[in-house]
Amino acid sequence: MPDGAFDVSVLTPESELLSTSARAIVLRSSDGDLTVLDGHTPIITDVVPGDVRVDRTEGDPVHMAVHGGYLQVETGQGIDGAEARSTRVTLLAATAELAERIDVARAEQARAAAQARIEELRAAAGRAGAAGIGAAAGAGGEQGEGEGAPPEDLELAEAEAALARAEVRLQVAGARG
Amino acid sequence: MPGGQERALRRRVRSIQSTKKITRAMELIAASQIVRSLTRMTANRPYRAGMARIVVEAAKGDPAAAEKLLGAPAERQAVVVLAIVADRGLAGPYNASTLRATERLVADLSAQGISVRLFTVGKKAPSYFRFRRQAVERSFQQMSERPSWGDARAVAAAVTAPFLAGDVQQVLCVSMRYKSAGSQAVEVHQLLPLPEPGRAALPSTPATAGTPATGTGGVASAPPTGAPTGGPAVALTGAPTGPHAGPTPGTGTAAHAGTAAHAGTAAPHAAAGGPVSGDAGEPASAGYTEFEPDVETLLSRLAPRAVESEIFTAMLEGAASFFTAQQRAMAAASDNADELIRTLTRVMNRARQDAITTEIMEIVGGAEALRHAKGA
Repeated sequence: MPDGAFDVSVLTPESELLSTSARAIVLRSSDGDLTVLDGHTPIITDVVPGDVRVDRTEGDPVHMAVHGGYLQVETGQGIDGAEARSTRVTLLAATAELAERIDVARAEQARAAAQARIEELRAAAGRAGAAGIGAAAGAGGEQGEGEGAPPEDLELAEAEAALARAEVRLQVAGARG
Repeated sequence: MPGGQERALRRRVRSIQSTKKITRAMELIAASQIVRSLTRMTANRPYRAGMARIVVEAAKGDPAAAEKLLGAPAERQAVVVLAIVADRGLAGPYNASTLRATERLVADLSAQGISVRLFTVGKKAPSYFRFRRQAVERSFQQMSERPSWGDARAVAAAVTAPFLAGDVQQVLCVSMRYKSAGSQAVEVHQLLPLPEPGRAALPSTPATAGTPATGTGGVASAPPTGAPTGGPAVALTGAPTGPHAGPTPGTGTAAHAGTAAHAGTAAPHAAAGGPVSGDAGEPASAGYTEFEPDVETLLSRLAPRAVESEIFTAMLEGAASFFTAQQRAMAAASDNADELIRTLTRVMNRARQDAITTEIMEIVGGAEALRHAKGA
């Protein structure tokens, strides 16, 4: 392996998204931006949703939309059976896609749908809140109504997550272009 | 009436022939699905191994923080049991053996005074437990044959919540492990607290996490099914009963769930007591890994992801086992149909021959009688 290069693999539960030799990988963790080069100290960190760039030894840099995950950097002797000191980087992500595979039109559609859904849910939540107060003032026995809230919250959270995903995709697809 | 029996037999043969067409088709479909399931299983392997590696590293980084989320629970009042079966039947013993093992586990836990909350995947489970008056808290359907990551997440969220809320002390999963094309076995494994793949029980441990070498990656890899799950599978009964009393009826299931070989490994596991102490930091490149954010935060966020990964793996292996079992069952059914057809055809031919013979005898008899009448 040439100097300054190390192995990077990006893994998702469904596939090995990328496995290549690279000079650098740039990503963002919850503590801030992070660039991993050869010989980086061993670290385990989370990866916040966004663009991840891998500068390959050969060919253009690869951009990926990663929707949250974890990164492990291993540096030491005997990694991958190699005698010399070497570095291996593993990025685990539940959902991730290569920038070139992102369907911009679909992501835009998803974003619009998610936005609409969020507004709809917020409006519904506002109504339900008002109705809840009215009901409490009137009868006070309508405790059962409260049970409807958690699934709606869940739906809202899901819609927001979908929106975030769509935005990450669009951002990454844009960064490449 | 002559020919009546023959016609009845012909009808039966025809019906068996059409059944055979169906079973043969199902066999072929199952066979093609096996390949797909195995591909997905293989594709999932590196992710799962990577996840296991991170958990091991994190546990080493801060054993105290890891204690809550790793190892065997010291005391159990309530336990979540997740059973993974299929939506469809006609797959030989696949559903039945998994469900029976679940039932045994539930009975066993109840006998120890532990309350059980049962979650299931697959349409076959709720009806089985309804008949046996065992309450199912939540059942998932329409996902067992081609489980998606989203499906696994939904299931994981449901079973993780009670644990994180502190309502239960342990989450167990009963599912069929795909060891090889010829061998699948029901196994009980612990989802939460996270099992310790790097624990002394495993022969691969001396290699420590720094060097989990090559390809699919170290600790969790080589037999990606048996090894990592074996330890905790036993811990489920071995550890909690061990300290208090001697062997209890509980140990029985351990033998069912794991194997005799695993039972042996339980001893060092339980004996070591507190999770991840002492020998954890065998010098290697590991030891000085940094964590961002700190281990405790990281682990608490990582744990649900690790459970998702384990459930996804269990579902994929379950699907592969299901299709394997179905293919085998349908092949047997087709063979049996062949044999039935052969036997029935033979009986039918004999019946036809009998009918013809009888007819000839009647004609000859009639002609003879006429001749005698003329001659007289």
